[in-house]
Amino acid sequence: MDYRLIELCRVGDSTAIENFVRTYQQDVYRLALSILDNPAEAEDATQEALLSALRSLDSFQGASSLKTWVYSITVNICRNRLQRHKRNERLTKILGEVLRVRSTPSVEEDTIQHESNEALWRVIHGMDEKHRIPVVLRYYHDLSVAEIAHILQIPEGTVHSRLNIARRQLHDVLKEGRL
Amino acid sequence: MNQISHKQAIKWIHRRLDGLLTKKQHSLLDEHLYSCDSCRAYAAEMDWLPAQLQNKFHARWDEKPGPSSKIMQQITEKARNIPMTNRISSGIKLSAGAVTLIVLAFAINFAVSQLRNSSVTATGTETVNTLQQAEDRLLAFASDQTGNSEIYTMRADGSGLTNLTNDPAYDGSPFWSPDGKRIAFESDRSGISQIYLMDADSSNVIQLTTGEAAHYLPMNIDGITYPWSPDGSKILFLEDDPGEQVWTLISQNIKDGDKIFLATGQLYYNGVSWSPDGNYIGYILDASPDSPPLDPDIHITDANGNNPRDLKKVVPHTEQLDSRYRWSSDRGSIIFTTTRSDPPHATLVTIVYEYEPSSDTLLQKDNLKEMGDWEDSQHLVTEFRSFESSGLISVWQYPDGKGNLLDVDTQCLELNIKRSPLGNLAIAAYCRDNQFRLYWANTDGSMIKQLLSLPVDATVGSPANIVWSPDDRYITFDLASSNQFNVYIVDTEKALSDPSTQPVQVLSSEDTDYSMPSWQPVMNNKVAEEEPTPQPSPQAKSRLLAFASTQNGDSDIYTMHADGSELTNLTNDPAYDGNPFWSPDGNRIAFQSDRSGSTQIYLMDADGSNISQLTNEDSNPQFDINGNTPWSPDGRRLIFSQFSNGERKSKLYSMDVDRTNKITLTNEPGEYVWPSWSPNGEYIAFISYESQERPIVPHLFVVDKNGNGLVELTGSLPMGESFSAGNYYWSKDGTSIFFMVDRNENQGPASTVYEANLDGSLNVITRASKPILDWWNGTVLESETPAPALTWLRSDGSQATLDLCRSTDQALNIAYKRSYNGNLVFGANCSASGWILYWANPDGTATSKLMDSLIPVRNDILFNITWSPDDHFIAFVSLDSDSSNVPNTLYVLDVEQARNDPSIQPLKMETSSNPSWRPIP
Repeated sequence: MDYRLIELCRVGDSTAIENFVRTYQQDVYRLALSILDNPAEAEDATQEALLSALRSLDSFQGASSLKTWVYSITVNICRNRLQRHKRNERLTKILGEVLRVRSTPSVEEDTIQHESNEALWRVIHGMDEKHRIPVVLRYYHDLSVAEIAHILQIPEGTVHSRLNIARRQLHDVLKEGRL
Repeated sequence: MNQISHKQAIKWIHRRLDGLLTKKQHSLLDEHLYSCDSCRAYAAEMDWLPAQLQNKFHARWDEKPGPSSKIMQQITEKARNIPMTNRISSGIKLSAGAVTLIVLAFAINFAVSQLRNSSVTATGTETVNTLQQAEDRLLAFASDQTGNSEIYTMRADGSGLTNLTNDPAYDGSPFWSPDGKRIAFESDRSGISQIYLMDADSSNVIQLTTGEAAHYLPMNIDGITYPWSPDGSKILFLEDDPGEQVWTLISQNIKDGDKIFLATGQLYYNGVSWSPDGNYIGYILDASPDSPPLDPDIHITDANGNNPRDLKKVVPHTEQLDSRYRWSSDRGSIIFTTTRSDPPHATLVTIVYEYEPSSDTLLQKDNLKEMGDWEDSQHLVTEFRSFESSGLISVWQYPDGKGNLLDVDTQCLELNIKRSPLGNLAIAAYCRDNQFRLYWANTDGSMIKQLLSLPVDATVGSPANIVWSPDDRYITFDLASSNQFNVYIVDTEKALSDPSTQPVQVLSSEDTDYSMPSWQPVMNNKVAEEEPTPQPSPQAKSRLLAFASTQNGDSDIYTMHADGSELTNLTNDPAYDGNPFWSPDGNRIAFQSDRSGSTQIYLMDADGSNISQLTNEDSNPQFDINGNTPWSPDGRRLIFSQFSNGERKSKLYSMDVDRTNKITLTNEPGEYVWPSWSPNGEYIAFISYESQERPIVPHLFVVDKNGNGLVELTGSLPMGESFSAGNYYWSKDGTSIFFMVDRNENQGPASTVYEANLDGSLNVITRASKPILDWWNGTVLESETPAPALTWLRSDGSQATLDLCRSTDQALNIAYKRSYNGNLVFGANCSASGWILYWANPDGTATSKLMDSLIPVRNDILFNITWSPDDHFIAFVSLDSDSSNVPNTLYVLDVEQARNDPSIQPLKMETSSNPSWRPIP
């Protein structure tokens, strides 16, 4: 995407904005889907991420590629959503206590239940995001360690060590499945 | 030709997976793989994984259709105002959490007042119960108005808005410390939610919790939840263990980081509080977590975690506990309610109880038809009926049956009602004319006044959580609109005298990550200065370690932080400088140096300045080689030994740090090691070896601080028993010493733990059939060498076993060290895999591996394990015994981190003597 287009997006040119959305919506959606693992929520996050990117184009310095920058925004938005899930569980707990109702299982729990035979997904869902997101970026989005480091804003060595830890866990479960 | 090691090969196989190898490394690795079958197999195994993962990921996510066409439409619509604003002002839908809060607010119509710290006067006059108070009291609150949640403070009049956190991570749940000087809060800036402290001006941010588990502060939706202990020395929080469905309630001492595990289970986020005297902690557990409906159960424990009491067990089983309680301010009791369904009409009856944890007494107070609020200390009971067509009607009922009937507004529905610290009431109501109204009532309800009225969005409703300021003057409440939460402050004093007074609006929040605001407590400056809330010790990472290293060619004394930062050469002298020991106040370092031509003892300040020579002897005075501190507990005296020239024998001495009062502790020259001061500084214990004895046997002695009354504590051991382990512990009061003894013969129990009184008399504490490695507060740690396992035998008869090394391995020997708190780190020297490091708590109920294959050379020796004063780090030294010219290696390991992730590598430094951690004064 050239800088003329970025400039047009900045001033709110609707054709340029359409172009921007068309360029990134697939990738952003796939990224959100792979982190959130829920199509409806991934769609919301895609919208939020693209809007947020459009609104903060002013702060895009061109230090990384635009795609990496948009990815980085998307990852942050997805992380916030994951964090929100966690906090909502807290709230549901309080609510449950007052109303004496049972909380419904979260989407993630649901998914896990439907695929209880898939040990791999149990492990992936059980991983904390610190380890899960690098794995997804590396093996689904095919990004290099340097790109992942840029997106997550952590050193390359940290990406490597998190990938190592995740690979060790995944290796064990995949190996069992192979037997 | 360069040949890489297996270890290097494994490392590079991993790096290759991430494309991190240079060309040269690639070819070196290929060479190694060519000649090494096992590494080749490992590489193949590792190469297989990415393809598998890629297949699974693509199979799962590729089949999902892409984003819907709505996205384009919605974004282009919303993006129209991009140049006008850079903040999202619409379009974020209210997510589930917000709905939760709204429903929640309707549900929580009961009121539990703030911790009560002053008596209530039920005057019924028009005077507001307000203390004289500074106008610049600060409100701390969280808002995500800048895009993510930050903590702000502002004055009650809306001035002085300050963003305290200003951090891209989530920051929320602020709680002021009792002295109003610090704020505890949650943040995920480290990647996962942890508890932090900062000063009121945002300086001095300290991370209190660490590890892989998330930590959360409780939530004050009930007006009673407050994590700080009344003296501000401890803080309560919840730990969410990854993978566990339960939560753990923890009390952490802020100063030294000591944790007390109070309860584990399905804990509620509210209802966590200290009794006003700080002696008890209340919390709520779901009594039947596996079967809905929820079954709240109030528990009380002593503040030290002992003697938990389950209030469900003290009331009839036909009654169900309500999830609300309140501490009485004056009698150290807790007041709570239960509900019982009474036949034949199945009406719900509420029973108010008062329970005294100190005497385990239960009093029944009153039966109520329906509970709203109750005021125990005046024996005043308030009953509310609301919700139905009749609107908000409140009945204040006295024990004599009389009461005031207050019909506020038949068009209004009560949302929330909360008592202030001084007994006044705030009542939030939602009215059918789409107005939100806030009422104020005095203690006994003889007067009720409307404070304000605001339009509200009828479709959304309103949470209207109320928080009183500690002086009763200000109220915060929140209102939800379709896309945000708004928090308002009302000055009750003003609003009562002038009904047109408008509330001050605090920053709004779009998000559902909503946490209750916190008012800066009423601060009596004099008290706060005389007994300030304890400060946490400097952040763990900034713990200073002193050690000696030859990295500059000669041995110098260095200090560095536990993370290796700020390495500083303190001595920088061409002579030998070594064996540093921090003074108990952490201000000075005692060390040895031969800068004067012979080894003498010196003292310097923590920054290397003010070096002074303490001894000037011909006989090379020196400190204990095993790393026992020479400093007396008061920091005034030092113990050292002096060798006669050319002799192997020495004598022990003690001396004031001003070079006066040198005393001989042992008249006979000998081989004296492991000297230690009793905790009260009155006695000194040490171990003596008699080299002419075969086998060499250690003897344990004690002598008073003046060098008088030398007693051998191992002198009256029965025949055939000998002090073996070389380890001993002072009792906390310094009146006795515990030590372990092995039996030489092959009969009867193999080992005994003795408690020796300082007159030499012995008590048998326990015996065991296997060699006792160690003993701590009633728990025996058994081991055999070569040992496949360690076994903890606890005084209650329970036990735990930890297998050491790998299944095919043997543990050749074990190096271990207890921290002052009794936690244990030990290294097992495994015959095949090298040293493996483990951690255990004092009684072995929790153990974990800290690191694998630390030093893969079997003959390496690991010694001088030294705990940091907060149990957070260890430092230890390894010596490569095969090549004596190689310097020793100092390792520093973050134990807290390594317990969660054994792949964490320790910091490594070259060293020439034992390390010493700077104490927490």
